[in-house]
Amino acid sequence: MTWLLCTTFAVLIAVGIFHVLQRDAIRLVLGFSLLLGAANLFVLLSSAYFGTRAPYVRFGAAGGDPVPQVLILTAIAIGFGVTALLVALVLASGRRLGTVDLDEISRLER
Amino acid sequence: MPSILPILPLLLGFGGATLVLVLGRHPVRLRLLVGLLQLAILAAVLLVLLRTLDGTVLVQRAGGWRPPLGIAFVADRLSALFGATIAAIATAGVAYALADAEAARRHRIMALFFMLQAGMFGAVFTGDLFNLYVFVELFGVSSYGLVAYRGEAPQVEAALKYATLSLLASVLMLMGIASVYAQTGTLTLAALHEASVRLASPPLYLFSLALVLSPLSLKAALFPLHFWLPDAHSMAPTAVSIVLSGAVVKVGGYGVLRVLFSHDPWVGEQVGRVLLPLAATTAVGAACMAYAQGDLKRFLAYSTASQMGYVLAGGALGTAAGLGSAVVYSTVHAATKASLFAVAGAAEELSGERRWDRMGGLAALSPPLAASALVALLSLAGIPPLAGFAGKFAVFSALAARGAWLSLFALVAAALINLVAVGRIWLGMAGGPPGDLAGSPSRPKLVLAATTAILVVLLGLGTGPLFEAGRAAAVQLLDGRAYRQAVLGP
Repeated sequence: MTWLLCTTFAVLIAVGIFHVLQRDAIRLVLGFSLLLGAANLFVLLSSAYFGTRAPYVRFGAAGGDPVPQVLILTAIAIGFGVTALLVALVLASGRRLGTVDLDEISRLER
Repeated sequence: MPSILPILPLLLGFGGATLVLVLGRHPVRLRLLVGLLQLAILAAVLLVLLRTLDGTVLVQRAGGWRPPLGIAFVADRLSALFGATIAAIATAGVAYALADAEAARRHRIMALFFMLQAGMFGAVFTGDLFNLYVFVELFGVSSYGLVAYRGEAPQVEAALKYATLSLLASVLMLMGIASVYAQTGTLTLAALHEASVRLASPPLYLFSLALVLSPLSLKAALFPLHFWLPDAHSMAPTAVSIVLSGAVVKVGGYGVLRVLFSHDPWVGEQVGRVLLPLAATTAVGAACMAYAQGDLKRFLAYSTASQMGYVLAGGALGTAAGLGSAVVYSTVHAATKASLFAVAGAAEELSGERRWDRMGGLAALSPPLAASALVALLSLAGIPPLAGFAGKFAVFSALAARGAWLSLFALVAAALINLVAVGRIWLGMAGGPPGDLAGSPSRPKLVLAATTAILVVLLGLGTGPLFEAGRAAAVQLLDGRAYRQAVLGP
């Protein structure tokens, strides 16, 4: 399971960085949400530090740690809000400047 | 000592934002409401400062749970001093926004100012690493909105750049926090001291810590994470620039210092070795870039990055004198920069120009504004008896005491470049034939510029107490026993 998570993490990071580096602002947002997902997977992996069983009181010390999973919940909520804000910014630039191409947006400024 | 005070400014910020959204549709009522709420926040933070100046550490535990289960909000000397600076600058920013015909009519913008403050106070008073992340995101999100609210092309671009970079850095912070937790088993800042002594792999821990510190350094505009700042700070509406340049960068600096020195001293020493050269590079590089700017607000933005280099250089030393100078410099720079942005905003309205070389004749057009500009510029340049001199002197002497000659040389060079740049700008703005009057700034804006300039003068006169408070905060941070005992219990 850890190998699967590690591979998924690596793929998400790679695809995320690729998209963040594109000129299209919409792909930037997509890449950012992939990176957020990767970060959440990373936190989940770190919770397997003390064991991989479900964190439940009766399992005792062998279970995983519940705290990182709580962190993920918060991070997902924050990530959702932040992604919505990024989409709003991209929409604003699309409506007011007529483009979502980052190079063109910088060119408009000059 | 258990107390509700550390969480009070945060609650007032959240409550204020909600109240403004619900009740603020009527312009007159909005002004009254915003003014009262802002004064309440200022009073609450000053109360925290008064209660902590004698060395008391105030703790508020969420739900009454003790750490490691519960999450604590803590106010010690350091966080109270930074909190007071933030509250004062935010008050200046909100006052400027109220004097602005456009911002004062829109209750959603005023609500964002309160959310921004709630986030900053949360970040300053929290005693938990993950909470720090949450509050950094919160004030970040509010500030992207504030930069972009006019919706003009340069503002949207600046906000997009600022948001993207900060958000990417905060993804790193999340991973850093997870790996710090995996290695120490705690997220409570007070418990990191003990945990950092018995680590399985110190190099791995330093790497995780670098991930945690990267978004904080980005907010503090540390080289090489500074390049969003000139756009965001110069393109934002002036009221927002005041808060961004005066307060928001300071929260980043505070976060770096707090996280770093919550650990055992070896961590601060190791990270300081990297932080000091980076801070010195920031100071010199940004000073050179500032020299090359023709746009007044852009000059101020680059100068903010340069001045944050001084703050972090002082902090990176890890000595009581160094950290004390970081606190003093933050306060002094916050007041100076708030004053300068207020002046710049008023001068822009007066002349209709953004470039300082086209603002000529300010002294003839508006003597009070020119006087405020002179005071603030001289303080930025570090001319004695003004506040800026005290800050620079504190940082320089801390560097000299530690024998960090190369960094000292770099900072002195940055100060000289800054001095020349400031002199040039003053001659360009005040001297020369008066240009055409494009408009006249409203009287409240002029009063605000003058008030902040007077604050700079007062800070310069009250250097002694400020130095003592900074030094006491540094000693308390480095010692850390009172903080840990208050949070973790005996």
